[in-house]
Amino acid sequence: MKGNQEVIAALNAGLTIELTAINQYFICAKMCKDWGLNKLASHFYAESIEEMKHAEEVIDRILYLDGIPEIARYDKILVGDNPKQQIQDSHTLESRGVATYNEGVRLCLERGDSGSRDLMERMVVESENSIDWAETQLDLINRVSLERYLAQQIGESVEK
Amino acid sequence: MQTAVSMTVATCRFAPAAEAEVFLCHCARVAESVVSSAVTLGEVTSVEEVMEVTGAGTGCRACHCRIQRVLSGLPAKCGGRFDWCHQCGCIGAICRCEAA
Repeated sequence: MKGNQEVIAALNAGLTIELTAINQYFICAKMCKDWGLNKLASHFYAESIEEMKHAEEVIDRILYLDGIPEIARYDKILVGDNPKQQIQDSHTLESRGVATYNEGVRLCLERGDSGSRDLMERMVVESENSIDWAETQLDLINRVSLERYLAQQIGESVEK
Repeated sequence: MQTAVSMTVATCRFAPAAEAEVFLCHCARVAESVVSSAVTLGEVTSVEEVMEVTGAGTGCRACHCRIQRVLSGLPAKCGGRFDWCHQCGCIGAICRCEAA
Protein backbone atom coordinates (compact mmCIF):
# COMPACT_ATOMS: atom_id res chain seq x y z
CA MET A 1 0.00 0.00 0.00
CA LYS A 2 1.41 3.38 -0.99
CA GLY A 3 1.80 5.40 2.18
CA ASN A 4 2.21 9.10 2.86
CA GLN A 5 5.88 10.11 2.46
CA GLU A 6 5.86 12.22 5.61
CA VAL A 7 4.42 9.37 7.67
CA ILE A 8 7.15 7.09 6.29
CA ALA A 9 9.75 9.73 7.29
CA ALA A 10 8.20 9.82 10.79
CA LEU A 11 8.38 6.03 11.04
CA ASN A 12 12.00 6.14 9.87
CA ALA A 13 12.79 8.72 12.58
CA GLY A 14 11.34 6.29 15.13
CA LEU A 15 13.32 3.44 13.56
CA THR A 16 16.56 5.41 13.99
CA ILE A 17 15.85 5.66 17.72
CA GLU A 18 14.98 1.94 17.99
CA LEU A 19 18.18 0.90 16.19
CA THR A 20 20.24 3.22 18.39
CA ALA A 21 18.53 1.84 21.50
CA ILE A 22 19.26 -1.80 20.54
CA ASN A 23 22.99 -1.03 20.48
CA GLN A 24 23.02 1.31 23.48
CA TYR A 25 21.18 -1.12 25.77
CA PHE A 26 23.24 -4.04 24.50
CA ILE A 27 26.61 -2.49 25.35
CA CYS A 28 25.23 -1.34 28.74
CA ALA A 29 24.13 -4.93 29.46
CA LYS A 30 27.55 -6.29 28.58
CA MET A 31 29.39 -3.65 30.64
CA CYS A 32 27.14 -4.23 33.67
CA LYS A 33 27.70 -7.96 33.39
CA ASP A 34 31.44 -7.33 33.25
CA TRP A 35 31.14 -5.24 36.43
CA GLY A 36 29.19 -8.07 38.13
CA LEU A 37 25.96 -6.05 38.24
CA ASN A 38 23.92 -8.98 36.98
CA LYS A 39 20.43 -7.68 37.77
CA LEU A 40 21.10 -4.40 35.99
CA ALA A 41 22.70 -6.34 33.11
CA SER A 42 19.56 -8.50 32.76
CA HIS A 43 17.39 -5.40 32.64
CA PHE A 44 19.47 -3.73 29.91
CA TYR A 45 19.65 -6.99 27.95
CA ALA A 46 15.84 -7.37 28.03
CA GLU A 47 15.47 -3.75 26.93
CA SER A 48 17.80 -4.35 23.99
CA ILE A 49 15.73 -7.32 22.82
CA GLU A 50 12.54 -5.32 23.32
CA GLU A 51 13.90 -2.51 21.13
CA MET A 52 14.67 -5.06 18.43
CA LYS A 53 11.02 -6.15 18.47
CA HIS A 54 9.97 -2.51 18.21
CA ALA A 55 12.33 -2.03 15.24
CA GLU A 56 10.77 -5.08 13.61
CA GLU A 57 7.27 -3.64 13.97
CA VAL A 58 8.34 -0.26 12.57
CA ILE A 59 10.17 -1.85 9.62
CA ASP A 60 7.13 -4.03 8.83
CA ARG A 61 4.93 -0.93 8.81
CA ILE A 62 7.31 1.05 6.57
CA LEU A 63 7.44 -1.83 4.09
CA TYR A 64 3.65 -2.14 4.19
CA LEU A 65 3.46 1.54 3.24
CA ASP A 66 5.89 0.90 0.34
CA GLY A 67 8.62 2.94 2.00
CA ILE A 68 12.30 2.12 2.43
CA PRO A 69 13.46 1.51 6.02
CA GLU A 70 16.50 3.63 6.98
CA ILE A 71 18.37 0.73 8.55
CA ALA A 72 21.83 2.30 8.44
CA ARG A 73 21.03 5.59 10.19
CA TYR A 74 21.83 5.81 13.90
CA ASP A 75 21.83 8.51 16.51
CA LYS A 76 24.84 8.86 18.84
CA ILE A 77 25.12 5.77 21.00
CA LEU A 78 25.65 7.01 24.54
CA VAL A 79 27.88 4.63 26.47
CA GLY A 80 28.19 5.79 30.06
CA ASP A 81 31.27 4.57 31.88
CA ASN A 82 29.36 3.98 35.13
CA PRO A 83 25.92 2.51 35.91
CA LYS A 84 24.32 5.78 37.01
CA GLN A 85 25.38 7.49 33.77
CA GLN A 86 24.02 4.54 31.79
CA ILE A 87 20.63 4.94 33.47
CA GLN A 88 20.66 8.68 32.78
CA ASP A 89 21.57 7.99 29.13
CA SER A 90 18.64 5.55 28.89
CA HIS A 91 16.37 8.33 30.16
CA THR A 92 17.75 10.73 27.50
CA LEU A 93 17.25 8.20 24.72
CA GLU A 94 13.72 7.22 25.73
CA SER A 95 12.69 10.87 26.19
CA ARG A 96 13.79 11.54 22.63
CA GLY A 97 11.74 8.53 21.55
CA VAL A 98 8.62 9.86 23.26
CA ALA A 99 9.03 13.30 21.64
CA THR A 100 9.63 11.79 18.20
CA TYR A 101 6.71 9.35 18.32
CA ASN A 102 4.36 11.97 19.78
CA GLU A 103 5.15 14.20 16.82
CA GLY A 104 4.52 11.21 14.57
CA VAL A 105 1.13 10.58 16.21
CA ARG A 106 0.15 14.20 15.51
CA LEU A 107 1.11 13.77 11.85
CA CYS A 108 -0.82 10.49 11.54
CA LEU A 109 -3.94 12.18 12.89
CA GLU A 110 -3.56 14.91 10.25
CA ARG A 111 -3.03 12.35 7.47
CA GLY A 112 -5.69 9.92 8.68
CA ASP A 113 -3.25 7.01 9.04
CA SER A 114 -4.76 5.15 12.00
CA GLY A 115 -2.54 2.09 11.65
CA SER A 116 0.69 4.05 11.95
CA ARG A 117 -0.82 6.18 14.70
CA ASP A 118 -1.72 3.07 16.71
CA LEU A 119 1.82 1.72 16.35
CA MET A 120 3.42 5.02 17.38
CA GLU A 121 1.08 5.45 20.34
CA ARG A 122 2.12 2.02 21.62
CA MET A 123 5.79 3.00 21.19
CA VAL A 124 5.16 6.17 23.22
CA VAL A 125 3.74 4.10 26.09
CA GLU A 126 6.65 1.62 25.93
CA SER A 127 9.16 4.49 26.04
CA GLU A 128 7.31 6.14 28.91
CA ASN A 129 7.54 2.88 30.88
CA SER A 130 11.30 2.87 30.30
CA ILE A 131 11.51 6.51 31.39
CA ASP A 132 9.57 5.60 34.54
CA TRP A 133 12.03 2.78 35.28
CA ALA A 134 15.02 5.10 34.81
CA GLU A 135 13.51 7.78 37.05
CA THR A 136 12.77 5.20 39.74
CA GLN A 137 16.38 3.96 39.68
CA LEU A 138 17.79 7.49 39.87
CA ASP A 139 15.43 8.26 42.75
CA LEU A 140 16.51 5.07 44.53
CA ILE A 141 20.16 6.05 44.11
CA ASN A 142 19.43 9.41 45.71
CA ARG A 143 17.50 7.81 48.58
CA VAL A 144 19.75 4.87 49.51
CA SER A 145 23.12 6.00 48.03
CA LEU A 146 24.83 4.64 44.94
CA GLU A 147 26.79 1.99 46.88
CA ARG A 148 23.67 0.45 48.44
CA TYR A 149 21.84 0.59 45.13
CA LEU A 150 24.68 -1.19 43.32
CA ALA A 151 24.86 -3.83 46.06
CA GLN A 152 21.24 -4.68 45.21
CA GLN A 153 22.12 -5.00 41.51
CA ILE A 154 24.71 -7.74 41.93
CA GLY A 155 22.11 -10.51 41.91
CA GLU A 156 22.83 -13.94 40.48
CA SER A 157 24.84 -14.46 37.33
CA VAL A 158 22.72 -15.47 34.36
CA GLU A 159 24.81 -16.60 31.42
CA LYS A 160 23.92 -14.70 28.25
CA MET B 1 28.16 -0.16 7.41
CA GLN B 2 28.62 1.78 10.65
CA THR B 3 29.41 -0.16 13.78
CA ALA B 4 28.34 0.51 17.34
CA VAL B 5 31.87 1.42 18.36
CA SER B 6 32.36 3.88 15.53
CA MET B 7 29.19 5.71 16.54
CA THR B 8 29.87 6.14 20.25
CA VAL B 9 30.20 9.63 21.70
CA ALA B 10 33.52 11.27 22.34
CA THR B 11 33.05 11.28 26.11
CA CYS B 12 32.99 7.50 26.33
CA ARG B 13 36.13 5.61 27.19
CA PHE B 14 35.56 3.35 24.16
CA ALA B 15 34.88 6.19 21.76
CA PRO B 16 37.03 7.33 18.87
CA ALA B 17 37.10 11.04 17.95
CA ALA B 18 33.68 12.46 17.14
CA GLU B 19 32.77 12.58 13.47
CA ALA B 20 31.66 15.94 12.19
CA GLU B 21 30.73 14.75 8.69
CA VAL B 22 27.05 14.46 7.88
CA PHE B 23 26.33 11.58 5.59
CA LEU B 24 23.84 11.58 2.78
CA CYS B 25 24.34 7.81 2.51
CA HIS B 26 24.81 6.15 5.89
CA CYS B 27 25.61 2.69 4.49
CA ALA B 28 28.55 3.77 2.32
CA ARG B 29 29.32 6.79 4.55
CA VAL B 30 29.23 9.26 1.66
CA ALA B 31 28.76 12.95 2.51
CA GLU B 32 26.29 15.19 0.70
CA SER B 33 29.23 17.40 -0.37
CA VAL B 34 30.78 14.49 -2.29
CA VAL B 35 27.60 13.88 -4.26
CA SER B 36 26.91 17.56 -4.92
CA SER B 37 30.52 18.05 -6.14
CA ALA B 38 30.10 15.19 -8.60
CA VAL B 39 26.86 16.76 -9.81
CA THR B 40 28.44 20.22 -10.16
CA LEU B 41 31.41 18.80 -12.10
CA GLY B 42 28.97 17.07 -14.46
CA GLU B 43 30.29 13.62 -13.61
CA VAL B 44 26.85 12.27 -12.74
CA THR B 45 23.34 12.88 -14.02
CA SER B 46 21.40 9.93 -12.58
CA VAL B 47 21.09 7.92 -9.36
CA GLU B 48 22.82 4.98 -11.08
CA GLU B 49 25.79 7.17 -12.02
CA VAL B 50 25.98 8.58 -8.49
CA MET B 51 26.10 4.99 -7.21
CA GLU B 52 28.87 4.09 -9.63
CA VAL B 53 31.01 7.22 -9.14
CA THR B 54 30.57 7.97 -5.40
CA GLY B 55 29.33 4.69 -3.92
CA ALA B 56 26.36 6.50 -2.35
CA GLY B 57 23.09 4.61 -2.60
CA THR B 58 24.66 1.18 -2.98
CA GLY B 59 23.44 -0.10 0.40
CA CYS B 60 19.90 -0.02 1.80
CA ARG B 61 18.65 2.44 -0.89
CA ALA B 62 16.92 4.69 1.65
CA CYS B 63 19.01 7.64 0.44
CA HIS B 64 17.93 7.43 -3.22
CA CYS B 65 15.33 10.15 -2.65
CA ARG B 66 18.06 12.39 -1.19
CA ILE B 67 20.37 11.67 -4.14
CA GLN B 68 17.51 12.56 -6.47
CA ARG B 69 17.09 15.89 -4.68
CA VAL B 70 20.81 16.73 -4.99
CA LEU B 71 20.67 15.81 -8.71
CA SER B 72 17.81 18.30 -9.06
CA GLY B 73 19.95 21.04 -7.47
CA LEU B 74 18.18 20.90 -4.10
CA PRO B 75 19.62 20.20 -0.64
CA ALA B 76 19.48 16.52 0.37
CA LYS B 77 17.17 17.38 3.26
CA CYS B 78 13.62 18.11 2.22
CA GLY B 79 13.05 20.45 5.19
CA GLY B 80 10.13 18.43 6.54
CA ARG B 81 9.16 17.93 10.19
CA PHE B 82 10.86 14.55 10.23
CA ASP B 83 14.19 15.49 8.69
CA TRP B 84 16.92 14.09 10.92
CA CYS B 85 19.24 16.59 12.61
CA HIS B 86 22.65 14.94 12.98
CA GLN B 87 23.80 17.62 15.39
CA CYS B 88 21.37 16.85 18.19
CA GLY B 89 19.80 13.58 17.05
CA CYS B 90 16.29 14.99 16.88
CA ILE B 91 13.72 15.32 14.16
CA GLY B 92 13.21 18.79 12.67
CA ALA B 93 9.94 19.33 14.51
CA ILE B 94 11.56 19.16 17.95
CA CYS B 95 15.12 20.20 17.07
CA ARG B 96 16.22 23.39 18.85
CA CYS B 97 19.93 23.28 18.07
CA GLU B 98 21.99 25.73 16.02
CA ALA B 99 22.31 23.31 13.10
CA ALA B 100 18.57 23.38 12.43
